[in-house]
Amino acid sequence: MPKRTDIKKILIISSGPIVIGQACEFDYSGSQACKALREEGYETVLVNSNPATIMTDPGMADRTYIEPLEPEFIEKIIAKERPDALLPTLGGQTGLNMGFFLSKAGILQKYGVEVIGADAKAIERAEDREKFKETMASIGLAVPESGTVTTVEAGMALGEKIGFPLILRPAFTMGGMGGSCVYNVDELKKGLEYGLEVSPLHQILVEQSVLGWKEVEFEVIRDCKDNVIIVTSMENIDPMGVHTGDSIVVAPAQTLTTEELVDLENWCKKIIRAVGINGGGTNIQFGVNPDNGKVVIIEINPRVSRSSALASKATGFPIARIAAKLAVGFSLDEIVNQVTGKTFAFFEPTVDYAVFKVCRFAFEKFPDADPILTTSMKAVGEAMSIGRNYKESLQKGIRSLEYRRFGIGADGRDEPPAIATDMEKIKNKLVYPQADRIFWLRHAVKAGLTDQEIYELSKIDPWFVHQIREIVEMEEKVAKHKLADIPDDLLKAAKGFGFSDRQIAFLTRSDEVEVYEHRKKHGITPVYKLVDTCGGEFDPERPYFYSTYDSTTNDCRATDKKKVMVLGGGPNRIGQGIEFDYCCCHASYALKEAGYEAIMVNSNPETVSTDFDTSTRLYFEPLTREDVLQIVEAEKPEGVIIQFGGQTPLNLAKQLEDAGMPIIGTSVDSIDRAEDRKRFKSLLKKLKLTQPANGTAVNIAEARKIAKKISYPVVVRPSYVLGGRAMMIVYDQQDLDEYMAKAVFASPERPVLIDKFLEDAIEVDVDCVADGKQTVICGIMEHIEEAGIHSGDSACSLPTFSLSKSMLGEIRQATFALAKELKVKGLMNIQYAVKGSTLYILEVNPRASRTVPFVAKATGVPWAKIATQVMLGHSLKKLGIEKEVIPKHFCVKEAVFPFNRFPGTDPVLGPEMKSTGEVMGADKDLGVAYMKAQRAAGQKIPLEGKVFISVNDHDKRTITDIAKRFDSLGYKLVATAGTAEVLRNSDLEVDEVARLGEGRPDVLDLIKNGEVKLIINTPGGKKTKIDETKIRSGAIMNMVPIITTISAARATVNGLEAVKKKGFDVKALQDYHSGDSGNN
Amino acid sequence: MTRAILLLEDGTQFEGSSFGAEGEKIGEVIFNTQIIGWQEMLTDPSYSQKIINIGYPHVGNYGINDRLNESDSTHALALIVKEYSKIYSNWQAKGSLADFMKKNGVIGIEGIDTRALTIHIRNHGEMRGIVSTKTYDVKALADKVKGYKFENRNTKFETNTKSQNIKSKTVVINIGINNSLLTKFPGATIVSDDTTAEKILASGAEEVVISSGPGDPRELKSLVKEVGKLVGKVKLYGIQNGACVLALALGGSVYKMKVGHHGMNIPVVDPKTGSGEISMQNHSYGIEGLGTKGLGTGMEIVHVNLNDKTIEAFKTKDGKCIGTLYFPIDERSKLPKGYKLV
Repeated sequence: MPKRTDIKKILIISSGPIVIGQACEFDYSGSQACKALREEGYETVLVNSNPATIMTDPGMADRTYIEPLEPEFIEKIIAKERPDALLPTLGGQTGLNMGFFLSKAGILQKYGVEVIGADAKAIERAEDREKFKETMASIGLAVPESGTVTTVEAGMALGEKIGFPLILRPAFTMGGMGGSCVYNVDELKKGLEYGLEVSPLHQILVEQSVLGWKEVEFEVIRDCKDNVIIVTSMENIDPMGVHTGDSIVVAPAQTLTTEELVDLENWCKKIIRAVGINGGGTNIQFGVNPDNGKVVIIEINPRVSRSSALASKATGFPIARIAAKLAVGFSLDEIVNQVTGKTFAFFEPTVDYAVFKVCRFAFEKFPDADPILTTSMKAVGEAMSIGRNYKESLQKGIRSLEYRRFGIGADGRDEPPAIATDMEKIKNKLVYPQADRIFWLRHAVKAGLTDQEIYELSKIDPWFVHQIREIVEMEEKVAKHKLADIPDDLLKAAKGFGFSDRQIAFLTRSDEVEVYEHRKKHGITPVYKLVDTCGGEFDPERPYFYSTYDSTTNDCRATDKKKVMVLGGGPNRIGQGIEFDYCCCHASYALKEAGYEAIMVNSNPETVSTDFDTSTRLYFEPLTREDVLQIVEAEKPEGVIIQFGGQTPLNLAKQLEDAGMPIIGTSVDSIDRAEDRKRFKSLLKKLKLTQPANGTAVNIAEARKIAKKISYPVVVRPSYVLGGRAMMIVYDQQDLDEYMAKAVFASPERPVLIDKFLEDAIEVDVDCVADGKQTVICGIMEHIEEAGIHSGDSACSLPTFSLSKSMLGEIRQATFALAKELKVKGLMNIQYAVKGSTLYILEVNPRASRTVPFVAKATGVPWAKIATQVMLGHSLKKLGIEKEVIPKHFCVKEAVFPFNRFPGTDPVLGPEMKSTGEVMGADKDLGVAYMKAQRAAGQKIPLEGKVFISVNDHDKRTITDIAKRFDSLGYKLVATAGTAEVLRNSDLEVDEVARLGEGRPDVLDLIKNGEVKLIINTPGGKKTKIDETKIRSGAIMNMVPIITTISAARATVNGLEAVKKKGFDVKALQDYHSGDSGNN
Repeated sequence: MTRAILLLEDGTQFEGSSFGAEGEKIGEVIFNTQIIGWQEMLTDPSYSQKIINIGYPHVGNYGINDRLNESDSTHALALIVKEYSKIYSNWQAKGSLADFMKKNGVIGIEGIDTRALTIHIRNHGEMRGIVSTKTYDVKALADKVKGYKFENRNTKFETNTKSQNIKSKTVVINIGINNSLLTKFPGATIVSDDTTAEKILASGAEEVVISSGPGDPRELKSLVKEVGKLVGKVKLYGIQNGACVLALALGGSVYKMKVGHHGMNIPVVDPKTGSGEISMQNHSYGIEGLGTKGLGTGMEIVHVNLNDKTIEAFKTKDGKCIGTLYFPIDERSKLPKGYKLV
């Protein structure tokens, strides 16, 4: 069918902030969709609250709304834009739920908007647990014995009838959120209570457990002509019981016979037809009993997903692009496969390589969280690796994760032998899956367990276990040699098994650089093979590349054209995510525009940067020294950009430069001047800039001495970390001693840094771009929360709202001075603190920062692109970028946290970053912009009801004014004794409630009963921490909005006053910048 | 590990190690883009005299199971793989692929850059090759390949009636049928390819299937003649090489493809509507020109290969003769409309 001409304007709802279970894969799919629809001439309207995305760049859609993803706002957008159709299948579960609710609520009907991609009926058959069961039964497919309940009582009865263990799956949630596996009545009750709470429909599926079964997934697409294709199968190495987002996954499936696979594929075709998707795709998950091949259907996701992004990257087949084309009426046979350039989308991709998806976790950030992997997703990021065999691919995958592990062990970072050989420990680690289980498979093999024994404990298929056994055997062979006497054949074979130079160095007692040089001398270098969708059957036009040592023929397509290489950011983690991918993509776009070939290196399958057409050539490779250097040798780029990929390429900068790599932009030496403590100090001294009093210590005595000298409170942290890892504010010597005792990482090379903590200071973030001569400020952001809260976790506003003109002048001068002194070429970010009339420099990062995309959206200027042009040698003057852009409206950035994934953790903010994503709210009024950001971040701040207030002594003075304002807005105040007394002294009416353990009902009861609608609770220190954690995590679990700083409470009440007066309005990004764009 | 060598007739050489039977075999080298299904390939008669190259790196993972055999013996000569799996793991597995190959005299070579071999064949066409685990004398091997003449493929394939008394309405002429296809015609009488049209017509059969099979279908001259006699008198269905035989009988022409279609991911579509299915294919011969003999009404194209636009299925305008070069695998795929077998 040709495309539909009866629709002209299409609304795309995307997925909002990066959270666990919904990450930048939806930026990838949404961007693809926007491009795919625009090239067909449709007008696109995009709504997404996440400013860090590529898709929200003004050029991606015709109309871009950075607004909260809530029906209230979307209806306003629909009323304003009057789209003909809504495409809800490209924005993850959020987009799908929104489309479904808008349809159910009659809003789409009211405005005559048609749902395309998957109609409401199909969505319901896929997502509503009962309807799904019925649909599956109608085609004769078994589902695990189960039932849907809406109350705890019904769930208890059903659960006991089915028998333990049981899986609980709340309806309409993403990433299995709120799901759990329960083994007894007690756990069942708790699981039901929580699951019902988090399901938007208060509906939960209680299901027979198929723990230990093989988990096999498919990506299936159907068009309006009833053509169906299976894009790929994927097999989870971790069997049923671990969420697929937390599992190590291989594509295609490895342990099924043709007959089994064809049977499952035929089920897929029946399912997609029965559900009624006829212009889109779905993910389908099966459980397969490893003992008898019995098949049950687990679930389907009738939309693009994390798995579809993975399937796309694993095969070269862009599912989201195709789904968008199908949604507007094209059929598969009409859509050209752009990778081959000569075949069509009606085709099942095949591969001639092995793909692994491995997961990145962040448990170190949430020490109180349960580290056991279950059916509720906990991973914050992932890497994908490609090799010519599974062993190579798996080891590349491990080093792609950037956990400072360089393969499956044997990298000098293994557990000490006493632990690694402890059989009890090994068995425990195999039975209870944790993030590090893959390493324990190796320990188990080394400890003498057989494949079958390991399978019995872990339920990981013996085929995969044996791959690790082969790696171990290779390791033992290599370890018999020194580098000088290792036979070339053996070294080549080890490289073919994916061993990194680090591992070889460890095994042969040499170092990484020596191994690299030795290999080069002996001609043991990788060849590059293609991802071409077709296993070599056709000569592809737009393939991408991976390295292998396990093949002989090199298919590298390096040219001798002028080119620049961009190093990406690797897997998402807390502190480094989509913002850096945004910058890398812009680098590629700018390079191509300037007539260069853009060579991208990255390992993150979720991203736009690893889309097949973002760069001229893409290398899907780990970001380690050896992998990057090999590509440099193959491509010989004129320059390499390292300042856009976050800490990942920066950590490699020195090694790469030493190896002769032509780094462009700000010099490695300048980066070092800003990072190295001592050099930084003298830099500031030279420029007569001030930093908080500080010192470094390697032991308790030194630390005490420094802290005493600069006086408490102080901020302590290890050197060389990202996202404020292990950073703390300590108020007294006892705390300091405790910290230092735990700081086993401290050493003369890696001392603990101690800074004076500036209480009640205003923190300011500045991004600027410089060309070596001239510096232009991209944006000055004033934080809402006071200094001391990690900049990634605090809300901020652009433009600033309370800084004086003279202070802003001082900030600008300091920024110019630093950029000039560091000879910055490209972007730089500076964090300042303003206390009284003093300006302190907290940190200088001569690279792209997390805030670059936010600033770009707020100012309407593509800063990352400009920075790239600068690095290519253009002057800012020539580019016409000479003045700071100060928007006439306020843009507020707010952070989004994963606390709901980690029950029991304290959601209090501090110097260690914990947020996974961000949102933006914009309005002429700062208060309204702030409230929009809160709504977008999922904080459902109520417009009336009870507000519970409990603040520490320090905050008691300031809370009164805030409480008064809540009171006059009509809120009822509730407080515990101490705070209540303070408030009563100011003549406020307060309900008093018992502290925990001092009578019932206590505050937790009020939270659970839904009586309290908003909580303001500032941390009171160690003594009260246990109770406060209960209250705060109780609030998170019961989804009561919680505010943990006075500054945020003040901003909230400001916002409420503004919203009550003016209400919300929506405005497209294009309209914000049409009047005041440019540099005026 | 024993050395093993593959030498193509154009002189290109690949070396690896042996994992199957030992020996020396000359055959036609093809590549298959499937990632699984090795046992089925080896035992499918239509792979007779083939040396099969698998691009996907791991082979042997799930072992073998007699139930999956496509016939009673192996027919392919050799399997060329990147990495033969050291273990097999599947609840149905009864043994390893290597043991199965050793038992059946199928040579296996692992450690080959199979992607490079695939691309070589893609660029230069399917060609003869020799595999050897015995001699590595390239010149001697080259001489053997050059001088080799394939035997006439006209092997007799088994039938299910000794006396060839045809009692069923459906008759399958066996030119190398596989078990999967056989199960589609339960109750049919299987006859050998020298069965005369007279005999079939005399039995009162209404439907005749010409099965899939190996080799050059153009060599089945007498069968083509007999099938020609059946045109218009019974319903005819040809599959894979059987479709070529039918096309020839209808006056069409058949050609040897530079690179055949071997895989299970191949789209075939109705050229008029674009709707179709993903099919499993294994054919090195294509149908070029359509005949005009079909009862004076001529042939028309039902499906083309979406990738290279070659003919994949045809029928006569009266719907009585239908040929498909592919093996349908779509769950709903049935023989073309109006043609009810079984």
